[in-house]
Amino acid sequence: MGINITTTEKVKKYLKEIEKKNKELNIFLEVRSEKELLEEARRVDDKIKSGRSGRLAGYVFGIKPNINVVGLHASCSSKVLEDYLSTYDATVIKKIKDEDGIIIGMVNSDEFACGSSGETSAFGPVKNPINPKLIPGGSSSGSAASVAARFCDVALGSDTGGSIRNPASHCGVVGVKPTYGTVSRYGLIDLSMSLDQIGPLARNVADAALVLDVIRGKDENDSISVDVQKLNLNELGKKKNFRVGVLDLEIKDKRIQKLIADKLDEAGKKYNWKIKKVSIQNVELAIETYYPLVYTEFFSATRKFDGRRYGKKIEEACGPEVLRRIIGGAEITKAEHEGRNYHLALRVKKLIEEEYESAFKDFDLIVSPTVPRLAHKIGEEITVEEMYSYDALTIPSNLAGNCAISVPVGFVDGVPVGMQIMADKFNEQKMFEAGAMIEKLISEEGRG
Amino acid sequence: MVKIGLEIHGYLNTIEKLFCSCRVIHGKKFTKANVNICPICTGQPGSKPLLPNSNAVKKAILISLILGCRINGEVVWQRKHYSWPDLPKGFQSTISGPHATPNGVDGKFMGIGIRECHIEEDPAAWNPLTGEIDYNRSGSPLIEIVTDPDFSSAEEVVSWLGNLFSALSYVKAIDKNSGLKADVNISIPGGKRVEIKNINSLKKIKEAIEIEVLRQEKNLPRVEETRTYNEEKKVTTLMRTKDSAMDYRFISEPDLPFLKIPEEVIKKMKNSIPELPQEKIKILIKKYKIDKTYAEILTKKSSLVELFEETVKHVKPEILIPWITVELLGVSNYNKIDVDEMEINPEHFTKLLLAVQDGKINELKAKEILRKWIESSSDPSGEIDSGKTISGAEIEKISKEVLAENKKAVEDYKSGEKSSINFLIGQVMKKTNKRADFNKTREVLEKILGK
Ligand SMILES: [Zn+2]
Repeated sequence: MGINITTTEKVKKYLKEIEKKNKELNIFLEVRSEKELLEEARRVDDKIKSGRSGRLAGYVFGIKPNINVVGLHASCSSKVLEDYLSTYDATVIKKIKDEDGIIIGMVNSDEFACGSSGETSAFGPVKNPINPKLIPGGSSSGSAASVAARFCDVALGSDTGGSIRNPASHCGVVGVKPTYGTVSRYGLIDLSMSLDQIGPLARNVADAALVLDVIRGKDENDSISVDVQKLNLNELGKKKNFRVGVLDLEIKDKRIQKLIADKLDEAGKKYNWKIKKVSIQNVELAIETYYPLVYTEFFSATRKFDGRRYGKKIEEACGPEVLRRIIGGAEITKAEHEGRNYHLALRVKKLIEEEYESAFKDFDLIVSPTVPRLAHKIGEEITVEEMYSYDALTIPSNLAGNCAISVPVGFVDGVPVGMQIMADKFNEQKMFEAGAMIEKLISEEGRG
Repeated sequence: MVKIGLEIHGYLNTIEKLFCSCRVIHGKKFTKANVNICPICTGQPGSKPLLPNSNAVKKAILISLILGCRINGEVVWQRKHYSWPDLPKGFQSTISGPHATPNGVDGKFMGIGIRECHIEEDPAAWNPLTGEIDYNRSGSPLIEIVTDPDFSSAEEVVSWLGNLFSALSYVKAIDKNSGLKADVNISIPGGKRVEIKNINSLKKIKEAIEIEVLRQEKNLPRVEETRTYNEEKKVTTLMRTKDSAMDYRFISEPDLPFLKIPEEVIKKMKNSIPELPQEKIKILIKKYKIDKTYAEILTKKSSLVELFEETVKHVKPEILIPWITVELLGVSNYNKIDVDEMEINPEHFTKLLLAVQDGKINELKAKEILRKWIESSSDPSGEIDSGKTISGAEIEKISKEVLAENKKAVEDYKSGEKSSINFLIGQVMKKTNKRADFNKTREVLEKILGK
């Protein structure tokens, strides 16, 4: 990508696509003015010509609306914040701008990142570009869809329980949940502070790796953040020996399980990977552990939206899923419960974290489907439990604080399916290398 | 017997706020509204706390040590949720609540048990009349000191608070300019505990306690309640009862790492604490053989005792003491500036007093120099040189001129009105530009006039 086409031409092309299809797909909530964008693109092209351009020169970004970009609306796809104009740039945005990336606009998402289908947005559901009747997944619905619809090169999303990987899987793009603490959350509007991470969505593994390499690293504005080594992007796509664990878990949709198993099998043969089953005992506790944490922390994080400063009072202006979580959080945190549920959840989180750490002594990677279900039709009634089960395989990585990527590996019933490749904390290098190898395998099959 | 306990809030003396780099400068006297602010202390969506200001944490531990507390090296921040216009994040960051281990616990200071000491952040300032919010103080570090209900009278409370603040000003842990706030809880035998919230001066604390005790004696409290003191009407009024007590829904702060202050650091701080006023008084009396009254005045302010101990190396205590306790404090009072805020360099002070002690300049001249040292002292050498006292012969010459010019005063003196000599001395001083020695002038004048 980016070869033989100027940034200016590319921005024009994307603007045209957005103009043509955004109404139907409902991906972008806000697109910057053409004049401003083209001026910026010209400046980048000048820099490229004179050889002074940054690492993201030529890349056009869509941004999830829970990330602050000065002068744009960080609405969180909610009526609560629909008039909230960011007064400052999130650290990740600063880094993208410093490396000459262009932000084309703010995409749609689930409201306050609460949702797994992209349907909870106050501004209407995002449609899946592969099949507009289907949900794109969530909560970074617009981020995944914008990349799949070729409205931009890459997008930023946030992943608390699968919110990047889940829509990446449903939309057939690459999505990365980085190791907790490696990407600054300064400027990310909170869902669950113990779990939230910002990450990239892209049409290929190399782009996702490049973007992550730029945005990660210690930031004093996020006290939890830590320093990391630079990724070695030249190693991507090279053949490597890996010890791979396949998550030993029966899922309901055997077609998904089979597709992942087949592709992994092929990879094992082609790349000489050692593949074994791995069982994580506590993985069944993931959803039960996840929701008390999310409810509690989301309740706390949304206390500032009391209608006094930023638009509307959240309880009065939000949708049912957001309200469910706030009410749940208010209940869990009541003094009479003495913090039991929250602290119990934190303890189980720690157990899950330790179990994964010990599994990664025997394996470089743990592989599973990204999502155990196929995308449903927009508007189709499903229960809360069914909705929450979408995230059963992605939540563990957030609880364990490690990293995981979703790479598209094919279709079931015409619906994209992603393979989740998880690596131990701070092992993004391995994760990307394996992801690039799977990507290569699939693309070679496509050609063959 | 009445039982009284306190929750005292004071501003920790730091340059920056607790979780951002904004300056701790607030109050109409010092700055305009909403200047020292940023996304963090105004709680912008998506902002996160910086690591807590380490000076604030150190000072909180220092205070805990001074109050004889056991120190908890583990600092686990908590979110205390409540909804109020002055609270931009919808919660206050604090080290209190059911899941916290306060910075210091189980102390004792001057006979009063200290339950705990902990840091917390100040909310913004909200004006209910205009609805305006000034975020300058939002996020400033506060210390909260909770005592046991060991007081039994308003006088006891006020005198203890005085001692507390002078001890804390000794180690420069508290910013006294920003004042104190206290919640006072009071119970009388057979009655329930009543808390009076947010009283902001010693005078009001005293009044509120006295008024509340009288009220309770007339009307024994049957339920625990929270009241507020109305200064104009001199009454306390009900805010809420225990049944409607707030649930702050405390949780541990997920955006800050667990911090641990190493044992050695705490030990080092413990050893660095200077002697506090009560010990210092004894030392001053013993070492310099000075009166208890003066020792008490000197130890009230850390700056005074420091100045005394430096200057006394060169100047005799009997000369030095009145220059500090009368003259310097006089300048401070006259200019309404806290003597701790006047930067008096002990070297300058020594030079000035040595010049007096050696008779180079007279006291009037020295006072004139001292009076210019309002915000800070300056090297007095130049003024000492130009203000040197003049010789006896010269005084005699000028005295004669003065007597010749002031016949009326001379007659008065001779007819028995001895006080008129003061007028004549004044005239000599005026003519010599205050360079004549006061006692010498009196001597010369008396000699000429004949006793
Ligand atoms: Zn600030």
